[in-house]
Amino acid sequence: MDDTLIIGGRQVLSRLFIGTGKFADYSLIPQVIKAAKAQVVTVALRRVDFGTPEENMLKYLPENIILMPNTSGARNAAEAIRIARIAREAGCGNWVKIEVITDQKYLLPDNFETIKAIEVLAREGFTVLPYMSPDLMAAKRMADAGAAAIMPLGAPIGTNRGLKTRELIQILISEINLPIIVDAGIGRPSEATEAMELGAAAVLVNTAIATADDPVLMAEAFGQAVEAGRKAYLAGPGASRRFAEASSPLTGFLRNEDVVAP
Amino acid sequence: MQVKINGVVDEIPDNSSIRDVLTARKLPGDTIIIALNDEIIKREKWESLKLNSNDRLDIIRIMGGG
Repeated sequence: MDDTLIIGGRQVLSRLFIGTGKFADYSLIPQVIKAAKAQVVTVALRRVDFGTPEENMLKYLPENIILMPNTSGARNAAEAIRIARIAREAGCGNWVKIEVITDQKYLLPDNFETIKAIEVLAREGFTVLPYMSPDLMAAKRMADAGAAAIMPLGAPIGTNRGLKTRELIQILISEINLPIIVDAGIGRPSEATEAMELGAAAVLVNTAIATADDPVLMAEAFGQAVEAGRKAYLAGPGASRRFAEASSPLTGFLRNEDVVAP
Repeated sequence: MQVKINGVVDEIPDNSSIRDVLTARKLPGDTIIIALNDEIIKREKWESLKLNSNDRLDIIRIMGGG
């Protein structure tokens, strides 16, 4: 069966997107990408801290990945647009994850500013993947503005709480004619499977892998979980019911009693 | 002259190039992105391009993020 995910005209081979924040050591990242069989990888742009100049993380990323710089740190559309342009100029390609946040407690994204940023960046030829609070009307506006996919949160960033927004994500999956990628909140492989079974096109996982005791093993588990969930979605699960329905035949029992002739 | 480097006003010698600023701050050149007044400056121009008073220089790097 042809089950190719296409985003922005590009074939995406893995439905597990990986974030690269919070890893104890950059050298873990290539191992994580390999174990997860991931292709789309997010990075962030920051001003150099003159006190502690860090390593260049790009040298840890394999050649064949799709780099997706995020606009984290942006508080409005203008800042997100600026970061996206800098990332593209710097050779990160034309994919961008729009992330506009002013709420510091829950890090919930500003859908309104995000829509404004999408309009500008899509016109400039970016493949725009907005991180968003799952809301049908906002997602429609994002689609109209030129988003290549919609990335609703499952739970606040870094919380590992799972698909708290499940019902709303389900609505987006059924009503929005773009890939829906669950970004943020997924804490366990079973939750990634759940999102994929719902019909999500992909999931983006960072904290759950980066903060696991063994990130590489967890990356592998997530890779398998996403594949399993996708296959289950394609296979079409059977109906769930309240009362039992025997799996074995209800005739011909080997019982110590007379059988009544039919 | 005064320029703004990564959001902080700083005093640097007149006629400084971008490379001079990086050298003074002991920054390895192969790992950073330079934006001068919001415009990316390609590596080849770091030696020749001189800063002007009140320029905004951003020295940026790519790091892990989700």
